[in-house]
Amino acid sequence: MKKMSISRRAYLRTFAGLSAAATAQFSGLLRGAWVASAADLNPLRLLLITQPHANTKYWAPRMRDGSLAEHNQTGWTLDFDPGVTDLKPMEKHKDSMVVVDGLDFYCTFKPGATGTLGHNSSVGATTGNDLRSTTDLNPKSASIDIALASYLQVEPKVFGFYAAMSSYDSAGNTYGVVGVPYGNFTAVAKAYPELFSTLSGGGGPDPKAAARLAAEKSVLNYLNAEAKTLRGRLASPEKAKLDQHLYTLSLMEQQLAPSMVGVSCSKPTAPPGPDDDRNVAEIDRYGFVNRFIATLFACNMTRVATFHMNSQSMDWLTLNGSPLSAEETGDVHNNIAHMMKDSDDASIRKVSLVHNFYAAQVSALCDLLKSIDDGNGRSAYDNTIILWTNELGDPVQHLPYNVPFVLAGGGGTYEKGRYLKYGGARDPHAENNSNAHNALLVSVLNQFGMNVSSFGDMALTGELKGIL
Amino acid sequence: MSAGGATTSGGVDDSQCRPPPSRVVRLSKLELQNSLADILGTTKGVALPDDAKFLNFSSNAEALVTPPFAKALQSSAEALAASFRDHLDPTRFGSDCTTNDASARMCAATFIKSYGQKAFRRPIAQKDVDGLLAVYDAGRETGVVGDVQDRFKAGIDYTLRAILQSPDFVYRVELGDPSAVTSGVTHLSPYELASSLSYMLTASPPDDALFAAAAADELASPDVLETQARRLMAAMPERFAAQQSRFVREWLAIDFTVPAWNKNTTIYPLYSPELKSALDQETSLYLADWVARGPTLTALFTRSDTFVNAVNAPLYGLTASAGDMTKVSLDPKQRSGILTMPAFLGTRAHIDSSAPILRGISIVRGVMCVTIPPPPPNVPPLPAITDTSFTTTRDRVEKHVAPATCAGCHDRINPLGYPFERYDGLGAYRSTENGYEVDASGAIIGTQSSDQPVADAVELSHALVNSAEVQVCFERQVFRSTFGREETAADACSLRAAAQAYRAKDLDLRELLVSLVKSQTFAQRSSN
Repeated sequence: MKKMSISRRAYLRTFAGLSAAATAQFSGLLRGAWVASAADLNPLRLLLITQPHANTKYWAPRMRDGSLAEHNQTGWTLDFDPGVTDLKPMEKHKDSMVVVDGLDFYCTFKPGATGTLGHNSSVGATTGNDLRSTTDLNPKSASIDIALASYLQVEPKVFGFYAAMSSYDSAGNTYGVVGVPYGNFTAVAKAYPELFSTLSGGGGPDPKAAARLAAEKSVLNYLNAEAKTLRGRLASPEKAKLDQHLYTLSLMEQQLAPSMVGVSCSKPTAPPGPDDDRNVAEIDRYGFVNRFIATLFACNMTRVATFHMNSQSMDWLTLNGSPLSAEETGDVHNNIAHMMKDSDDASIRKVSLVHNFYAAQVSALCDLLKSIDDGNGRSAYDNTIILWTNELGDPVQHLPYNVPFVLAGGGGTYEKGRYLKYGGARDPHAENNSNAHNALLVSVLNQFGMNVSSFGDMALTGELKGIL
Repeated sequence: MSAGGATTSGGVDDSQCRPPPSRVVRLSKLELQNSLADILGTTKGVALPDDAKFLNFSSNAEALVTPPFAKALQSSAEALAASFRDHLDPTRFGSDCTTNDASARMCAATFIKSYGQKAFRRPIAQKDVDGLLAVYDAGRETGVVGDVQDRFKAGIDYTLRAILQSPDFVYRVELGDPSAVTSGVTHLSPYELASSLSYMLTASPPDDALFAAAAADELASPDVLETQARRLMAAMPERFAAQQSRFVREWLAIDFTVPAWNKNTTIYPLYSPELKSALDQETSLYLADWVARGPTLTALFTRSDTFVNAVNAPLYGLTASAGDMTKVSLDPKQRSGILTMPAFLGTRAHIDSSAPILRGISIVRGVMCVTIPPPPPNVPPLPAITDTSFTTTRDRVEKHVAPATCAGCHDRINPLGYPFERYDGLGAYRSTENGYEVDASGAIIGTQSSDQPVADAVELSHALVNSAEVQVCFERQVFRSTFGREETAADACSLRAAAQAYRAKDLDLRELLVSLVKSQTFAQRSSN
């Protein structure tokens, strides 16, 4: 990465008026290392995915011999059992995943917290914070997607068509800066024109994309040439200003390629109307959302997208070739998740089946992102951090302990392909909890250069130990 | 003005005086907005980030083209170009712009010469045309195949984007002619002088008359520069007033966006967002009127009139009609200039109380240019206003800073803050606080010639105007705002001449600026 020489005084002059966050974003300047200063045009994206019903004993990865993977272990598999398991569809993406086991929503059950040990604690999943009060079930602060989007100054795109993570929260666990539910796209047919009306093409390549790309490049070429000419007229101290200018232009050029990707950045297939999705089968909505998110990333229309997956009814489910009962598929929450019994493997497999469906959707979205050329030999998947979490940690009792988390995508500097296992006492009366999931949220945010020490509950500080 | 011999005059060592180095200066947000408005007649769709300030001033010569700035400028340029394209009449650039691509390209060259000159503030060279025609050619291909007019408009769209993001537009250059260096000194080119002059006085590009004077090479003489400066002030009164208003607001750190302006309505029932907005408007009218009537330092610190309507009049114990603000005279025993206006007082306050320390620091640092170190670590916060063991804010502050370790700074700061205790945190006048009589006595301390006790802020404002230290500080602040940098020993001759000029004319800011325009600091550069 190119290094620059510029005086500390010049730095302070330039950034003295910026917010602390913005200053931190450019803190690399002070060190002469320009990596951090690229943050604003860095293509790194966040894809937040949530789903309900916690996990089963078939969720965690295992070694080839069937034994459970240990903390910080690599070489495991998600395809360890001939029967249905939770994460099996993600097997092909495992080398870029970090499976994080054993974290708690401590913010919702620590001493003084107003969250309960049931559904309501799900607000902590994405916010890292407690409920406002026992009567106000909104969280005290924003969810991670909104916080990051605010930092990156991009508009987040949030999809949540169903009852959302918490059965009692139609907001889908995305919350604005004061913990107010953030509006989701609630139907694919309605979202489509709002998102893609300005895109050309109808599923095929945009015939003018190449011309636009060439024109955009010609503008940058011109700006580069003029900046270099001006730089050549300057004495050394002033050259640093144009060096910064040229570096900024180089970042813009890097960003140009993914924003003009020909085939992928085109209008996706439109769902049938009307805009209340009455003519879109529920199972098909997942495919539409996946394609929408992939297109948003391909076209660089946002860097933060969220998909709150949840279907209360899943009438397409079959287990070992046999359909489940109408009661079960008609109310997955009550008649599958709540009916799981440790002594009844079939009941566990049914919950795994539900999770397996969600994992298949995530896997398909990963495939789509891998198909998008982000330039420089990288795909959109390579430049994305996927944070995939759950409403709670126990399908039956809905406890906020041992909540499953998965990191996927090639983005981020942490080592991939690992299984991280946390655990220990989960005493609601403990003064601190080393398993608090806030640490993971902090680690994810810091991958984007936010340099925060806490997120949500300010008392829970630090990154997730062992993540880096 | 020569580089000078080894004489000393007025405490200035002339031998150190020399022109500053050549430089480029990125236009500020205000300058870009004004420039875009002048070029295109609109700023619709323009959204630029706030400037990073230096020594409080947005006219910061160290401003850089950072990624956030570049992205914002790119988006603004695209919005402006799209609008321009929608309303583009090709016949403005030739009679044959839609027959075929070749004839349309000639019209594009005409467009480039016209708009390029406006944006770059200098004549357009053939290499400029060639570079931008390359952009035009690429942009043209995004138009509808076979539709010459659409292709022409598409090409112009991208060409205009390039012009509005060009370094030639974004930077103001002060390089001089490197081939005409005499004794290590060169002079700014006529077009550099024109831009420097117009942006300095009006935050805007040169008007037609100034550009014509540059084209005729008529700006080399300091006297002509003075004539042009005075003409610009008169010809562009609103832009000149806005530029000087910006200076005053930034100098005194008047800022209605700071958290201190979210006043506690229990303590200040008069407060509302509408009142804050009205006070902001009042300040703009006050400063515009100050500039129009003769922007002297004396007037700025001693006038006792302002502008009110039904929203802000109650703050002064007045009534007024709704709608437009009208000028009113205030009690000169209660109000004396900008330092006794809510704009200053409410900014340098807390949400629930006045802030004599903050107000005192503003005077010490901003008005007197005295360096005061930041407070040491682990200073406890002021006791809460709900603590009834204190009678008044002053009582609370005096006891808070009573330890001897505080005296070194606060013995100088606080006597300049206490006089403002006749104004609460909202800027309303008060003679009592919590039922106790307000003690607004204070003093100017630690100066060479201006030390004196004052009874209140009215007396203080008058004393400050007559203080030699304050007058010198004002010169330095104007210099910093004008040139976007801190003064150095090399600037001393220019500053001395400027000081003499404005002190001879009733401390008139315009005379200070005109003198700076005629200085070597403005017109000359040391060769590098």
